Amino acid sequence: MNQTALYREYHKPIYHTCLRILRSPMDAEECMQDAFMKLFTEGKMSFINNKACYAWLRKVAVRGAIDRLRSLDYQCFKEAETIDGKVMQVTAADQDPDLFRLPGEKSDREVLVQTIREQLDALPSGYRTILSLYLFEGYDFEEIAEITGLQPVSVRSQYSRGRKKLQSSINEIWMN
Amino acid sequence: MDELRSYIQENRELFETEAPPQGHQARFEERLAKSGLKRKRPGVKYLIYSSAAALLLVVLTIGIRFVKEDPLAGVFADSCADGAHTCYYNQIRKISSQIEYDTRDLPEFKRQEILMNMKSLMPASAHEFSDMLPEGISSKEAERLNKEYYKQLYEGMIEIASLTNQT
Repeated sequence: MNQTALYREYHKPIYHTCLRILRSPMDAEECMQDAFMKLFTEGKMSFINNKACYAWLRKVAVRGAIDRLRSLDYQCFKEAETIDGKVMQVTAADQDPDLFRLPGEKSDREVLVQTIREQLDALPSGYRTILSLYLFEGYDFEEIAEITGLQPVSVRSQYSRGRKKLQSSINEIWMN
Repeated sequence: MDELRSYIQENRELFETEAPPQGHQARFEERLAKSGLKRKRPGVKYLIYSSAAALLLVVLTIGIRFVKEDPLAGVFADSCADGAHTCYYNQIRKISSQIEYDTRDLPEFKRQEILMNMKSLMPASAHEFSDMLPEGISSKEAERLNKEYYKQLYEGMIEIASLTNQT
């Protein structure tokens, strides 16, 4: 697959991966392009298949987005990590993966999707990043720890707390 | 599996409806084109070396050709190709003067030999050949034949002139 075809094939999911973390379309575009630039200019075109290529691109985009986010919002990440270090023991009990309860089965899908997106965007960047990587990109906690450079236990607790925040804000909207 | 995670995976396309900003691909291609230079930086050295080698080859080729050519060829360049036969005649006279001048420092026997050869080629006048042409020939044809005649003499003079530089 040539450069243009690769770009056309994967630009959209890579853009959304960046956008979920960065929120700004302009930043997301730059982040997406950085990943493709790396792919094309560093000669990393010899992947076994397109799936491997996409996985590589996505990881580069995620790392780029996190670096960008950290340079913009360094404090936020740092604070979240410090708090998580302290509350690790307390939150360990909250890590039930089935805690999230979606409001009513009959709820309109598109409205619910919009609500989740909005509430995810409203989360502090540290939580938002970890939730995005886990929920959308399908990484497990170990992988997220490796990508973000955080402790796995910290990732787990941030995810748990972020998800609770998301849950409560969605519930609040749906109750009203 | 996490219920939210499953929900998102099942409805992923609904979460990714926004298109990237307009013109993103053009901007990317521009960026890629700009970085093309950077990417090829290791090749720049190769490019410089190959250009230098090509330039050297061209210089050598020109130099060898120049050396091989008669250095007087430039001095006695054929400027009469489009002119009349009298042009060749005038050139012959100029070259003869030049030969006389150039041979003044040569050994006498050599000088005499060159001057003798020169005189054997020297036409007596600009119309010595016209006088020998049969009557009834067209003026155009007469001029063509005249030109051919004086041109041969002119080339011969150049050959003789080149001898003055070989000693």
